[in-house]
Amino acid sequence: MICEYCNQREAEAVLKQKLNGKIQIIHLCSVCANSMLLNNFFSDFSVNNIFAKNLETMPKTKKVCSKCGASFEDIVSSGRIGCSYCYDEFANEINRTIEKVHGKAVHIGKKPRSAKKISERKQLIAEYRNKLNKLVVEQEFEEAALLRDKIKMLESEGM
Amino acid sequence: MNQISNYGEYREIVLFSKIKLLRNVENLPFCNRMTLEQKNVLKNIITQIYSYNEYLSKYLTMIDMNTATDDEKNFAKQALSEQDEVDKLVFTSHKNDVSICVNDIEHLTIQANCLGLNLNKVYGICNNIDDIFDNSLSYAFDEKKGYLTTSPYDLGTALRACVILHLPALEQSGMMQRLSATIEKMGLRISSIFSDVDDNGAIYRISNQLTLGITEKDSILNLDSIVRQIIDSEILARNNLIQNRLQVEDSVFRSLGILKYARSMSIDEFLRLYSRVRLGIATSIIKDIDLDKFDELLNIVNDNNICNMAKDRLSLGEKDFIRAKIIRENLN
Ligand SMILES: [Zn+2]
Ligand SMILES: [Zn+2]
Repeated sequence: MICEYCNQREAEAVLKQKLNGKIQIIHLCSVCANSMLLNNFFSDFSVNNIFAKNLETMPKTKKVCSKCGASFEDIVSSGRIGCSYCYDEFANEINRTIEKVHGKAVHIGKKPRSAKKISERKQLIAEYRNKLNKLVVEQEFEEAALLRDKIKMLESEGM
Repeated sequence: MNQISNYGEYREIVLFSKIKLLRNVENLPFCNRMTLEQKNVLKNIITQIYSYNEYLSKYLTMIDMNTATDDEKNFAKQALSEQDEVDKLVFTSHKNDVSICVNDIEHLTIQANCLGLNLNKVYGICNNIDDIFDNSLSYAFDEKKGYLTTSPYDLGTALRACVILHLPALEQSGMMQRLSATIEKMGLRISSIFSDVDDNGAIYRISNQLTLGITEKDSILNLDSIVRQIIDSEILARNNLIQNRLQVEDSVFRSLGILKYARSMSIDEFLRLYSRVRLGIATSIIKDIDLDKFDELLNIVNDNNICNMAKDRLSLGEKDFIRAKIIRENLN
């Protein structure tokens, strides 16, 4: 049996862990067992391997990520995504697994500085569009033209 | 920004609270596909931010795992998730309660912990460090998927929070099974610490599972409120247990006796006895042992640490012998 954590070495140790009230038996190689059980009682057993098992049932593809060179096979066997572009490159293969884990949820938590700027700009564009529609209805064409230019400028910034 | 020097609440039940933020940097492959050159680039970027930031360079020490001494390595290793330490950097506080790892499973792992329950404070520290890096570099991020991570399980907030609890009274009363099912329904995860036997020292780890479609604040609030309910139940169960004072005292002191005088001790036996003695300290049956020092035994007597100290590969019997010796020296 192959180690369920690294999927590389032969499993030598059997560990029991109670997870949500059920006893889970995990087969580990000596290296992984050492790092997990003995190095630290409180290490969190990562779920990489379960992710990989989910992916194994996905249709195979010969595609390779143009940025990091990872093949889908690499991702399945390591249980790890190769780079941020992999998420787009292998969207067909990975998204179903993501949905299985997270449902249809989208991110609502913290955003990094760079993303905040983008979403602020998007919001501004949406606001201007609303205003523009009103101006057109009210036949304020001069103002509308000015606003249209502003929107164009904002949109080109996002390219 | 302040260091964690004071405790969280419920020290008699909560061993510690811990939070991890996982972050990757834009335009570099994730760690499992990085070349040596790329790893060095990342190390340089992070070292620069560290050395120009007053707070980071004041409170955290940089340990380069490629050049560190054995003692430094053993200390810094506690912060790493992977066994392999090559090409990694660890920035850590002198008590190891705040740390940043570079080139571990993710580009950056920002972690903080404190004794007792105080998730808010621990998150505050992680969040501040996260902001420092966010100001100087661009994170791998997607509007819908949130922070991008090597494992899709962490997408979204990429925040992992956990609380380690000692629940001997709930376990003895046979309520853990039902409790576990409830906790699972609340979208949290409860696991015992690893052990070969079922009697695991009644130490449980409760952690968040949801990272996508939830804010950091709610994620922490959920975990915190469930943990508080469990603590209330444990306090009730302990009060019940203490009704049989003589019986509890006997079990506590009997266990302390074995810990103090045994010549050989397996890790499983240690955990079993540890649990009983800890209950004794927490309920003031034992008054002359400091709880913090006693809990530290958990870090000292694990196999890896014993082997590190001996700087040698040891047989099982030798480990048990050294373990008993360390425990004796700490308790007598
Ligand atoms: Zn392994
Ligand atoms: Zn890729």
